[in-house]
Amino acid sequence: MNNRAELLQGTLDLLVLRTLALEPMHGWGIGQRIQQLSRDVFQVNQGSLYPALVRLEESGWIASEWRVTEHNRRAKFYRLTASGRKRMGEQTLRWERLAGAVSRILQGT
Amino acid sequence: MVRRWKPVRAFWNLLGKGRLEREMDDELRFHLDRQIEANLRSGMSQDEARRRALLDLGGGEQVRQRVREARAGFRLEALAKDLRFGGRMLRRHPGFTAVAVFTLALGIGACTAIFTLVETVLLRPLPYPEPDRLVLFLQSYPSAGLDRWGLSQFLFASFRDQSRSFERSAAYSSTGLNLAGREEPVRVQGAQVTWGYFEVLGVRPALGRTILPEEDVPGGSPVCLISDRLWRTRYHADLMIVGSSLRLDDVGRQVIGVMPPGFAAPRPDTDVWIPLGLDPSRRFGFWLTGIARLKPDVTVPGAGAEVTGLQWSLARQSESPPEPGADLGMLVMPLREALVGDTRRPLLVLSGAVGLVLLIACANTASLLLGRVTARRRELALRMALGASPGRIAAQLLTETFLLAALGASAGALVAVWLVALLGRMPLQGIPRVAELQVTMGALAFAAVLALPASALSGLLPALRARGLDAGLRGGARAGVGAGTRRLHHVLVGSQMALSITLLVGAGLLLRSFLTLLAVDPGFRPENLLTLRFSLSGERYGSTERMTLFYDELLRQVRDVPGVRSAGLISNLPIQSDGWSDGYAVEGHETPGAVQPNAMIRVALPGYFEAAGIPLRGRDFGPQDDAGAQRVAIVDETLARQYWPAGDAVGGRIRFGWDTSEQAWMTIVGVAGAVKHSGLEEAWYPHLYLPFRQSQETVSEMHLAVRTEADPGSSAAIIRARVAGLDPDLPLFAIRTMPELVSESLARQRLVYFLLASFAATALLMAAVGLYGVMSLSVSGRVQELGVRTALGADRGHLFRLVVGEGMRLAGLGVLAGVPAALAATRLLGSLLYEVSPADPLTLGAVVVVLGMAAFGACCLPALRAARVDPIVSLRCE
Repeated sequence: MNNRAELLQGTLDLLVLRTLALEPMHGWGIGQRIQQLSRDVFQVNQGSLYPALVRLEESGWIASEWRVTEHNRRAKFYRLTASGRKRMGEQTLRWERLAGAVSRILQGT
Repeated sequence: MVRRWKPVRAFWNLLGKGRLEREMDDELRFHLDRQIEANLRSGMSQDEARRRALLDLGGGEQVRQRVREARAGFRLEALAKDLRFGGRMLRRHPGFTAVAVFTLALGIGACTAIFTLVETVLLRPLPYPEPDRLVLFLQSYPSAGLDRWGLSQFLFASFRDQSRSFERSAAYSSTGLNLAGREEPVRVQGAQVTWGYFEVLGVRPALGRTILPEEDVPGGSPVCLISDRLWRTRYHADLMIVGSSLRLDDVGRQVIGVMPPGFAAPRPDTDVWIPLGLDPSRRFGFWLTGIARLKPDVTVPGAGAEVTGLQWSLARQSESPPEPGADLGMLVMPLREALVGDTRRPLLVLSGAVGLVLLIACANTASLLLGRVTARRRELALRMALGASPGRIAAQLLTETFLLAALGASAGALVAVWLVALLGRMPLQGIPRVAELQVTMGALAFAAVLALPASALSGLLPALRARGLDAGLRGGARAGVGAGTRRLHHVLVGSQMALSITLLVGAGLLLRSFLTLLAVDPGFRPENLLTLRFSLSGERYGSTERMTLFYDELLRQVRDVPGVRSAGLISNLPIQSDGWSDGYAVEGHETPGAVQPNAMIRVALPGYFEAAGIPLRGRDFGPQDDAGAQRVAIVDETLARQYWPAGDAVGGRIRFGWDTSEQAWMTIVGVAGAVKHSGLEEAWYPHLYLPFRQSQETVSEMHLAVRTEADPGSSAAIIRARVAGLDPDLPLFAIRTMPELVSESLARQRLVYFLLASFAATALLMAAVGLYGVMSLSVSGRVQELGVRTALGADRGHLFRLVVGEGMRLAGLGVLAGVPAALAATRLLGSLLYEVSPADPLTLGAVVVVLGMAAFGACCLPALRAARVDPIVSLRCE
């Protein structure tokens, strides 16, 4: 993806969960939000985002419903479920431990 | 909540598939719209905004496919779709499907048929309760020429009473019996058994009861049991049979029981069981076989050691104890092993051969599939461009292969049923338990299971090749064959050639041994020799004199029949491997102790040697050699050469058996040619012939040998009528010509050879078809190149040689790889070969020539096609 960073394998799920923790959102919005929050470092590939949404929904971590947007368009909105919130907590902790370990190593040299 | 469980979700998704697809489309369209709006806001033109949005989505169909793959139940759905698609593909290419299914059916069918044979003969438990505890026991005295030596009544009784290893034991001896009564007299297979025989086996009669201890004593009450087969065929399943009376060998016997169907002991054809009348005081006459059920915690070697100990302690107390350290021992062997005997090796060889056939069939199918993949590379590349992952393509190809293999297995089951029926019709006397042969559910399951490895073996390589095809579209319209694929084709064809060589060499070696066996001189002239058996019994023939009268009259009448040259009577014919052997001693060569060399003992009437075509030096027996005259004997060359190397046996003296008195000596009056007493491949065994008039042993069964001018079969009816004229109650049985008997003695060799040769022929055909397929494919892939060559002036002969050369190189590589494998594999044939080395150069050479010819034939058609390539047409193809 040109000069933007590729998403690390498996982090997309966590980012989606995090995004949905703020408010229910449709697929396009999720992609935009991740891009914004990462200050344009990540650009989400649609070919990865939509399969990830299916996977997360089938695991019961998010749920979906069709709603009307402010522009009066029908869109599929995803929201975090209770087990999704728990999952997010676990995954965040895991990520922080991992990231911390990596940066400690990088700074230690 | 239930919907969260994955299989349930998978099912749910499959049901709601249409809705899921619609929602996905709506969602992606919404995404696209929003992206276009965003692009417009950032100042792009309408067209540019749309183009960029589509580009960002990264190919709508590919995203859709990836979403589908993320759904639960995708695999199931894909499988169903692949099956439908695969079925359609197979229907659309009936030629390809037919060849592939036929090839797999042959491989799987042959495997299943041989599995059925192996299962029946080697694996299926004997039809008795706890069959692993059943053993046979016999004596063995190898240094006396007695590898297997029967028990005397005394010995058996001692073992029965004293052995701590046997829970129960019994003894038996098979015997032929004349059955007379309501209908025409017949000869039936009987068995004399001690009481407890049926109890050892654990089988109860279907009607009536078994033999009681008080019936199994000398002079016990005359009773018998009959088989289900005899009961149904001769007595029409009469329920009142128990208690009625049969005449067996002229003795009225009361039927006390009918055995259940399928009870086939001690021989498959035993129809009547009578009490043995055990007399424990009889120390001589070693004609019994022991059978026992071991105690639960006793092992076979343990039992062997125990009864050998008993045998030695009994032998040391006897009149002529064996020398210490002699190899006298007891042979205790599992009943199943005794039944299977020497059929284990041929069956294992056949299993290996049939496995090779299946491998070749798989290689062939793989080759075909590879060709299909190459032909379909554009379709497959298109599917990949539309978003199918390489894994999906491979899965789809494997599904198609599995469909093929499933069809092949079903057709293979039919092939197996047919093959087993064919086997059932072949003369298989030499093979135990073959009467039970039938295709079982187990065998059909075996065929079904074989479909799995077969599809994996034949489908995996093509499927893996297909993964590398995504360059196919970019590769343009050329329908050529990639170098990798071509190499794979060559490996497949080469391995088929190599595997076929192994089978061909095996079949060739068996053919050579079979031909060698057929050329073996049996020591007599089997052609135009008619044989039949009968047995005199009862009061009418109560003495040797009365029997002699009958025999003389019989011979006179038979010799009178037009077309009959000579006729003779003998107690046992050559080749048939039955008869009686005993220890003998030659004057001046007597051995101390009990160890005596053994010879087959035959009782003959004058004229036998001439009728059988056995050369004779000295004189034949004559009417003068009767009970009052000097005892005489004829020995055969094998025996004579051993003691009279100078050839002066006539006049020497010989005796046999346990009688060591002066009267036991017999003067040798003639030396007969050696004959094969059992199979043609057996070693020569010494023979000792006695004149019937002087034989003190009662010989009840006799074989009539009649030499005729022409086809012996045509005289059979007249001879039968003459015998009936002498005694209408006398059953004549086994009316056979000698060539038939010789041929039957080779039944096992013929079966193994026939099967292996069929497998080898199938393998050769498949390999040739495989080579043909690869060469055709290669030629169609090179049409342009060939066209250019023609255009540049290559003549047709050159193109022909080019293609044939390529094919023959391939075959040559296969041969190079196959010969060492064949040499390693044929060593397993070992004892199946007769006077042929497993590395026989003649066979190897012949096989290479045959294979070369087949390969040349397979290359010819494609090569001719190559030679006829029209340069204009080929270049226009582009």
